[in-house]
Amino acid sequence: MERSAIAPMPSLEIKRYTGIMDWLTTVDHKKIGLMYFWFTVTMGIVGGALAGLIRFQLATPGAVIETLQAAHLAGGPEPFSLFSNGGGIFGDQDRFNQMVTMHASVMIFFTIIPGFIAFMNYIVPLMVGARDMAFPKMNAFGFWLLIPSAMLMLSSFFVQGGAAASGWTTYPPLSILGHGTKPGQDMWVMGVHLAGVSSILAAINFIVTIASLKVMKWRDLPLFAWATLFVSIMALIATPVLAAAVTMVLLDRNFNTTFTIASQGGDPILYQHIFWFYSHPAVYIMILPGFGGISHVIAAFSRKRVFGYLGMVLATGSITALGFVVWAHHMFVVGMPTWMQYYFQVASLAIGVPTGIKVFSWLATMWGGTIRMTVSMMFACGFLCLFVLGGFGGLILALTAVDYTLNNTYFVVGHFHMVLVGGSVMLLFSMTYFWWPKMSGHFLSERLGKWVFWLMFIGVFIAFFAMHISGANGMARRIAVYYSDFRFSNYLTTVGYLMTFTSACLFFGDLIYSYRRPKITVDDPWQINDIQQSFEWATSCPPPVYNFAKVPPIPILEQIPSHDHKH
Amino acid sequence: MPRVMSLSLALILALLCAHGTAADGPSVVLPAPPSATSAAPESASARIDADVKLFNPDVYRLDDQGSPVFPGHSLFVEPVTEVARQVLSATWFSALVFLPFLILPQVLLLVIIFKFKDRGDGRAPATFLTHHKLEVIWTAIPFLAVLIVSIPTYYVLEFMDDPPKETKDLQVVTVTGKQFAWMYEYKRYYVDPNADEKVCLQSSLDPVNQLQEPLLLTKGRSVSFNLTSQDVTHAWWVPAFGVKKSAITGRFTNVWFTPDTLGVFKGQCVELCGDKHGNMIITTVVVERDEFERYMTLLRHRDDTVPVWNALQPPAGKTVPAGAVAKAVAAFLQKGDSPERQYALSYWMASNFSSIQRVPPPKGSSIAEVLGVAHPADDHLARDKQIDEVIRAKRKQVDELLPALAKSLAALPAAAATPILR
Ligand SMILES: [Cu+2]
Ligand SMILES: [Cu+2]
Repeated sequence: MERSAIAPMPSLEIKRYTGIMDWLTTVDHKKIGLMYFWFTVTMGIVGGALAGLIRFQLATPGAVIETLQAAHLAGGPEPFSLFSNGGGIFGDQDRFNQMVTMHASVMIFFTIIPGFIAFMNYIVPLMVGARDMAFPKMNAFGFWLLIPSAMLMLSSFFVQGGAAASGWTTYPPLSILGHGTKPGQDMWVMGVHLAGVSSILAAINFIVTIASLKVMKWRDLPLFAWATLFVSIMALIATPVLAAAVTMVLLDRNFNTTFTIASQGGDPILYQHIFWFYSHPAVYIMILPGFGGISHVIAAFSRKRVFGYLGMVLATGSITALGFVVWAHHMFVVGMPTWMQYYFQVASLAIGVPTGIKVFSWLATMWGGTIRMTVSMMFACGFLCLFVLGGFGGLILALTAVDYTLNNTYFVVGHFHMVLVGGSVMLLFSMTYFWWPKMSGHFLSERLGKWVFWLMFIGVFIAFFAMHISGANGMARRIAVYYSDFRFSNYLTTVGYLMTFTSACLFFGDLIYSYRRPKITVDDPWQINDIQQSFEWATSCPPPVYNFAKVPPIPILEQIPSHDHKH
Repeated sequence: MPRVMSLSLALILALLCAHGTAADGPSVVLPAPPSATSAAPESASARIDADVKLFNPDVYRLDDQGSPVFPGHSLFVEPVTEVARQVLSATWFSALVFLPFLILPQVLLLVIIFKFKDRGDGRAPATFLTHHKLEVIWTAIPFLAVLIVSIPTYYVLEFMDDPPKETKDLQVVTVTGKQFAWMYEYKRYYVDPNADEKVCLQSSLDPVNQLQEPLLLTKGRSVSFNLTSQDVTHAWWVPAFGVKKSAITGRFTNVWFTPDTLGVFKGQCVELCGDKHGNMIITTVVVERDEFERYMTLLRHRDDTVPVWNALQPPAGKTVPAGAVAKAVAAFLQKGDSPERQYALSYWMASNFSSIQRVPPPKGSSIAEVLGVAHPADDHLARDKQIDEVIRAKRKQVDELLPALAKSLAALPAAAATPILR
C-alpha cells in the first residue's frame, strides 16, 4: 500500500513519440485499453457482418428444402441462395460452414473476450489505485498478438479451399480432412494459438496487478477487480488446455500423429473432452467480467452500495470453481456412462445457484435506491431480463434426458446467443456507456442511446427467442437449408438481426461523434464517487498518463459507515 | 419494457405448450395414382403402389396447385415412444419447478424500476448492505429446486440408458454414418440364411438413384441401435423418438426405444459433418410386423433386380434394345422364381421409378425430360399424368413378362435349369 505512495514515475511521462507512433509503441494501460476497445468494435462489425451473411442465406428462397425440390421437379431455375450452390438438391454448404465457423471465432476470440479485456485493462488499474499494469510491456505485447491472430483467421477466406469450415468447435475427424490442400484450418489453429498466448499474458498481468498493486485491502477490492481476478485465474488454467486441443488437430493434420484418428488408435472423443475443458470456462470468461462491471453500474445509478458484497465475491469464486467441472454437458450425446452424465447434469444445474445469488443481489442493490434510468442502467436492466431468460433455457438444456432431444438444435443456438448477446454484449454496452466518459473524456448521447438500447433489446429478444422456437420445433444447427416448417421463425430471427444491426450502427456513429462533444471537466461526471468502492472516479477524465498524482484518498470507503466488514 | 417482458413470458408459455400439442401428425399423403389402362390385374398393381408408398415415403409428387407434397416432412411430431414421452414430461416438470426463477426476477425488476425510480423528490436511498436471512433463502431455495429436479430426471436418464433385458425379439440395427448418408444393417436378417458366412440385410443409398433410404421399424417392437461412423462424427436424431446419439469412428454408441405409433418420422444428422451436412436427412417408417417382414423379403432380393432396372434404363436418348428386358427378367427368375421373388422384382421396379422422381435432374432439365416426356411446361397436371403413363408402361413391360417366363422356367426339368441366358 505504501509502496504506491512514492513519487511520480518519471519514465512514463517521457513521450518519445507522438501521433501514430505513440500508439504503436505505447505501454500505457489506458491507450492499450482503448486499442483493445477499438479492436473489439472493428471485430464486432466483422463478426456481425458474417452473422448477416448467415441470416441472408437463411432468408433466401433457396434455403427452404420444399422450394428447392419444387424447382427441381418443375425443371425451373434454381431458387436464389447465397451459399448453397450446385451439388444436388441441398447444395454444397461449405461456404456457409466457413461463415458459421468464422462468425463464432471472431465473436468469441476477437469481440467478447477482448471487449472485456479492454475494460479490464483500462479500468482495473485505475480502480485499484495503480499507475499501470504490473507488466506494461507484456500488456502491449499481448494486445499486438491479437492483430496477427485476427489477420491469420480472416485472411484464410482467401486461401485455397477457403477458411476453416468445421465449426468453431473444430471436432476431428472433420477438422483433420483436407490437410495439405486446405490451409484454412491450419491458419485457424495458428490464430487460436496467438489469441491464446495473448489471453494468458493478459491473465498473468491482471493477477499480478491486482494482487500486488492494489492500494486497498482484499476485503475492499471492487467487484469488477474481483471478477477480473477470477476470470484471469480461469483463463490462465484453461487456455493452455485449448492450446493442447487445437495442437492435436494441427499435429494430426500435418505431422501424421493419430491423436484423434480411430483407425490408428486415436479417439475423436478425447479431443472433445479436452476442448470443452477450456470452452466451458470460456463461457464464463465471456461473462464474469461483465458481472463485475454491472455491479458498479447498478450501484452507481441506484445511488446505493452493492448489496451482499461478500456473497457476490463468493458467488463469482464458486462459478469459477464449478466452471471447471461441468464441461461434458456439451457432449451428453457421445455416449458416457449414466452416472457420469448424471454428475455433469447436477454440477451444471448447481452453477445456477451462485448465478441466482448474483441476480438477486443486483435486484437487492436496486431495491430502495433512487434509480436514475441512464442508458447504461437501461442496458443493465435489459441484461438482467434477457440473461435470466437465457439462463432458464440453460437450466432446461442441462438436464441430460432433455438434452438428448435439444442437443445441437437451434434451441442451443438460441440459448447461448441469448446469454452472450442478451448477456455479455448488453453488459459491454452498459459498461461502455458507464465508463466511456472516463475513457474518452466525452459523454455518449443519452437521447440516441435510448434508441440504441430499445432497438437492441427488442432485436435481441426477437432474434434469439425465435431461435429457441426453431430448435424446439426440431431445426438442427449449422444447416444452410431447412424444412419450410421453420421458415417463419427464421424470418423472425432475421428481423431481430436487422434491428440489432441497426442499433449497433447507431452506436458506432455515436461513438465516433462523441469525440466532438464538449470535454468533461470534472473527475466524477456521474456524481457517484461517494457510493463507489473504486478509485477511477478520483482522477480526471481521461486520466493523466500517471493516473494519480498521489495515492487516491482511501477515506472514500470509510465515509460510508455501514460497510459491513464483520463477516 | 413491461410489455416486452410480458410478451416474453407469453411466448415462453406458448413455446412450452406448443412442444406438447401442436403436430401435423405423421400422415402419408400421396395423390392416388391415375388408373392404369393395362390388362394387368388392378389389385396386384395397386398393392405394389401401396407398398411403395408405405416403404419409401420420401417419394413425392405435385399437388393440384403444383407445389410438392412431402409425406410426413414435419420434424415436429408428437412423441411416439415411451422414452420421448418421459423426456417430454421431464421437460414439463423441470420447467415448472424452474419457472419461479424465471418469473420472479422479471417481476421484481419491473416493480423496482417503477417503485424506486428517481422522481427528483429528494428521497434518500436506502443504505442496507446485507440481509443474511434473505441471502440464505435465495441460496437454499434454488439449491432445493436443483435437487427436486434431479431426482425424476435421474430415473428418465436411467430408463433411456438401460436397454430392455429381453433380447429375443429385440430388433437390432447397426447404424453407420458416412459422408453423407446413413447405412442401416438389419441384424439377424440375412441375405441367405443358409449360407456359411451370413451377410445381414442392408439399406443405405438406393443402388439405382443414390438416395437415402428409410429405416423400417416395427410398431411395438423394441429396437436397439449400435451407432458408428466410417469417416467423421455424425449424430442420429429423430425428434419423435426422443433419442439422439453421436456416431463416432472407432466406437459403438447405443440407443434403444420402442416406437408405438404407425407412421413416417423424420430427422436429420445433427453433428456438423461437412459440406453436405444438411443433406443427411433421416426417414423412419414404423410399420406392422408382417409389413416389416415383407420389406425384409423385398430387401433380400433387391440386388438381383438391378440388371432388370438397368435394362429398362437405356442411356439418355437411346431406346431399350429389343429383348434386353426379357433377358434380364429371365436371368432373375432363373435364380429363383418363387412368388415372393416375382413380387420383389415388380416392387423394386415400381419403387425405382418412384424414387427417380426425387433425383435432381441435371441443371436446366426436368424429370420429364429425363424420362423423355414432351411436357407442357405450364401444365403440371398434364405433365405429371404423362410421366405416370411412361412409368406405367415401363412397369407393365416387366409385369407382363414375369408370369410367362416363370411358367416356362417351371416347365423345364430340374436338370435343364442351367443358365439359359447369360
Ligand atoms: Cu458449458
Ligand atoms: Cu452427418
